[in-house]
Amino acid sequence: MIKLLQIELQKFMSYKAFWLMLVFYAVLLAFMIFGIPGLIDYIAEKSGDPSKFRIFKAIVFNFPDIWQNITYVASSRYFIKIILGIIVIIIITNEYSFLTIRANIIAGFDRKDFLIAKVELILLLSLFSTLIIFLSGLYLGFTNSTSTSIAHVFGKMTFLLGYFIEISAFLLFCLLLGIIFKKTGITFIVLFVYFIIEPILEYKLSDKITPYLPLEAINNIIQTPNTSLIKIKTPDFNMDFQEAVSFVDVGVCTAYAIVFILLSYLVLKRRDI
Amino acid sequence: MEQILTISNLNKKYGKLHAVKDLSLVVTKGSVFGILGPNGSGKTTTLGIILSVINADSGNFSWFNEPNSKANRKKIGAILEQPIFYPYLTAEKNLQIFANIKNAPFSDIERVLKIVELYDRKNSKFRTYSYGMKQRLAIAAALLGNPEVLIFDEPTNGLDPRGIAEIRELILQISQQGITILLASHLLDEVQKVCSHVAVLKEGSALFVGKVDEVLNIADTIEVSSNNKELLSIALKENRQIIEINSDQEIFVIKLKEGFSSYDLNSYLISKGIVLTHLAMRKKSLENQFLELLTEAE
Repeated sequence: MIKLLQIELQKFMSYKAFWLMLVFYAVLLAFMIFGIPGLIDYIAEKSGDPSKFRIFKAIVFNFPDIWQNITYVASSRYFIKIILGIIVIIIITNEYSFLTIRANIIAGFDRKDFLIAKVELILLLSLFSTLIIFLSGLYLGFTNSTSTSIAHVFGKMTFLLGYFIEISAFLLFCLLLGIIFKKTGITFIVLFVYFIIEPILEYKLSDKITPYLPLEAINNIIQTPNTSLIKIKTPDFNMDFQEAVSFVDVGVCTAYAIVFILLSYLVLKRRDI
Repeated sequence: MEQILTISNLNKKYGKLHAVKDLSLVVTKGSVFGILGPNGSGKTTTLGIILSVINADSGNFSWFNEPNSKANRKKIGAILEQPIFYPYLTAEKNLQIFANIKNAPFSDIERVLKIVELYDRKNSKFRTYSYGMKQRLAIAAALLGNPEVLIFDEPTNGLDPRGIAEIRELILQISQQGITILLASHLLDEVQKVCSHVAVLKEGSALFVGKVDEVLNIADTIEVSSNNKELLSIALKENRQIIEINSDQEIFVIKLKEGFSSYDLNSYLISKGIVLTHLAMRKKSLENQFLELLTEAE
């Protein structure tokens, strides 16, 4: 297993485009997470009543809610995680356009090895992304939170685990598309078209089915957070907000991840390379 | 003889095109086995199947008398169609990846790069290589981990005459080390120069399989005729140097065993008291024979 990951990393160690995109992603993610407090400060200064915004900031970055808030921002469907998706699509479709997938098999990989190596790389990318969020969260939490007791710091940290599963499942979806469509451009188009199609389906289909559509299910793990602010402002607002990661959501998402891997394997196995 | 590769009743269809048709052959240890056929005769498809990148529709194959496995593939070095590497990586880093997949030690990389004379360019990116260098790097990659079998698919395609000579020399050198070689080519001349055995492929099926000198019978033909045709006919039939007689009205077309020439034939006929009215040598170009093989099967 480690050998496979090692070989996979060898392929990218001196691939400048890969590192550029990864650094771009990391910088953008950190910029976004750290930009929020800066933005709030800016608004606070501009407004006549800075104290109100300071309260908001303290609420958003308060342990333990911070974990839900920043993972929610980082995992939003149409935003920053697409960059990671693009990296995965380029990685897999490169193997087809350079024909190196064929060379890998001839040299002694079987199709399973090839796929496992890619899955391991995806898990590593997800871990990398989760780590950035974890470190940013710790920093922002400790600088803004009113309470830094261990219970508060580590409470709701399951959202980080949820985020890891969510981003992994999304990247595995991108991998599957890449394996099916082989060409970089076509795969991008299919992904973006699907981004448009699924919301339309959601609109047409009954509410019972929509949570189980792939992207929706993946996104469901971390839902719109109910910052205590909303509660304060509208005490009558009687809607269920997510307080913890639900095992059912995690289960559905994990199931999708497994299905994506199995489908990838099936396509790899049945096709000529 | 130890069997290295056994193919039995292999079939592969691409839609209506029957790319490989009921193909069976055996490659024995130490041989240089040529797969000869025009473009589109199923050579690359066959190699793709035995290297597990193409799935056969039916039939099977086995390496080293064992079921197909990735472990067996690690004992094979192969180049299919074109040199394939990560273009943005240096030659050395590319070979490190393939050495890792094959479980070959990194120390092997220096050795194979020196064999193909690319050691000085090991730190250049693959995409900066000329075509000949790419081809040589592919051979280096195939040599990683001391394989028992080497597979070359049109190894001299796109090379200049010097490059062609170098590659053929290299193949012969390798085969002298006891490594079994499988070589696909559309060039009869190439197969004849380097191969000990050959399978001639046409439209996916094997027309002939056997030793090169048997299949590609290179004997020249001799035409003779005389006033007394009957006497000539009897004399020719009695001659043990002759392997084939065809009669074409006035003329007999004869193939002699290796080592005998028209001089021997003429002396023999004089000793029998036959005077020829016509004696001519017909040298056949190899290409003609190859084409003949292909048309005979129609």
